[in-house]
Amino acid sequence: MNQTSLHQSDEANENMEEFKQLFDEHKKHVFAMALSILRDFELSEDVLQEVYIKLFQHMKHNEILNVKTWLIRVSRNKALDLYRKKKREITGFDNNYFERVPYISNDPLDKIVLSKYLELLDSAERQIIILKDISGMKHREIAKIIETPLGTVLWKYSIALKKLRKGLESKEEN
Amino acid sequence: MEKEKILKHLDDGIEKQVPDVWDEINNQIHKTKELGNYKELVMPSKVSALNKKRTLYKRFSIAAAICLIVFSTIIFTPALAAIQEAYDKIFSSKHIDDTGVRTAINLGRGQELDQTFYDKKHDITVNFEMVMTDDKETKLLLTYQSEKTDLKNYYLDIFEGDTSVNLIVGNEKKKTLGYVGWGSRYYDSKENKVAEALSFESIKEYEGQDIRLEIENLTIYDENEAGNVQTIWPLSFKLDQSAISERETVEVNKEFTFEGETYTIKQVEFSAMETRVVVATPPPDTPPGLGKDGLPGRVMSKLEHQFLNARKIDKEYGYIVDEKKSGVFLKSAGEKVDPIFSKGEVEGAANEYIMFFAPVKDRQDCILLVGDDIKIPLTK
Repeated sequence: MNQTSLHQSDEANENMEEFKQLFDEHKKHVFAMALSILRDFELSEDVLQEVYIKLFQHMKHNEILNVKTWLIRVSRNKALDLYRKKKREITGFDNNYFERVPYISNDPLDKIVLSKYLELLDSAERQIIILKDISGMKHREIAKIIETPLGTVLWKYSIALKKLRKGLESKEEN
Repeated sequence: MEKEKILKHLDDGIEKQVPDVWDEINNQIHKTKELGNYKELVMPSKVSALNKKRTLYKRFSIAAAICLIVFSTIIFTPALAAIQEAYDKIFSSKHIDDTGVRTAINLGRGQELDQTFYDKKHDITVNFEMVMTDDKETKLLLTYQSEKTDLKNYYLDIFEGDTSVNLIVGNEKKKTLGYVGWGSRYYDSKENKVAEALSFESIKEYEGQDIRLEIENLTIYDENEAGNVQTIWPLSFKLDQSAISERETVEVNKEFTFEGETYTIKQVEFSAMETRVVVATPPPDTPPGLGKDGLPGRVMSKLEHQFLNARKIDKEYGYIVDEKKSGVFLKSAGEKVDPIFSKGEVEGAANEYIMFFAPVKDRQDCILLVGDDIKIPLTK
């Protein structure tokens, strides 16, 4: 191996390290965004992979100013496309469907909250909760991403939290 | 539970659910680097992996079917006819998730069409295979194939897509035929060929007449776009008596109670393509709220929940029965009769629920099974 190829190899390794760092930092946001639309873990995993491959390709030729927002936007678009394609498979779930989904967390409260989140909220409400409370975005940023007026975002966020709390309270009572 | 606590559990729950797919992504990037072609970088999908299994299975099953037919009929049947027969078998295979279609074909129902139309603009060869109709629905079975156009994402979706089926008699367009359920589709990636069982309203009243059906537009469900292909696929034929089957309606009027709710089985309808059980449901305890469209929503009865409890979405075979689950079934001539879940969107009148099952063997011996304990003979 000559010096030039060694240099190229080092550079490539550094790039992959940086890419891996981006993966570790943002994979939850990408996955959660997809899950909020698809309500299907396997399909969301597909989106996660596709989005990072796209990021890798995109970064070779372009500079991305805000990687997190870029990833969330691409994840949302991919998930919406997939939803349109697969909606017959991933809609019309029966009543207890989300209670039966195999959750990985061992904490029963994690499972209950996640199942109620998937079951009770509509698509826009789920997206807003994820963007606000999982990805830490401001309401104004969320309004831009989901192309919805700010007032509607605020209102839906409040409704979503109420729905979730009410659903969990009734679960506790049972 | 406090807001902060709820959100913490949601965050933790999602965090643990995030799959570690770094190795897959990394491998794929390296593989593609070796090939020196970044533009072709495509991740193998987890769901696609299941589809690949389906394709593989399908390849084997088609190959096996063709080999078997060629082997057993080589003396009697020309090879092309044998291959066609293998394709006919698709409509009676599990890949068509409508037990009604499968049963009707196995019983030799329907009018053979065997007409071919070539859509030159899109290089699609359409073969209309069979039609069957009764008082409430029509099934049109067709395949379409192309050498140049990738048909993977092409659908004839008259339920919610851009596709419609028009009925023309003489020079007059009579109507656009409404959907009855979703229909059923199977894509054979090796052959780039689609088999579809379209399901739309009855054309029985045109028995003995020369009619023309025009399938207008294809629906595309692509990962990058949802769109359509503008085209017309025409089919002209005389609706023969062999396409027609009679629908027998039996007034049942029997009450039963399930989980504290009282239902009345109003009637059962027997046909060559399905068995419908029409049930009057109790009014909901609380009035339904308004849906997104501003119209009143619908509250599912406990019976409807029980019916859907046995529904399983299988990535290989579509909507199928989960044999481990309790549900609602029919039993006829000693055999269990499965629901047809693809007709879930066919709604009854107010406070009425329609359950769809495959055709039964013996209409005099037909029992509705609700859960493990309720058995009601579907007789007068």
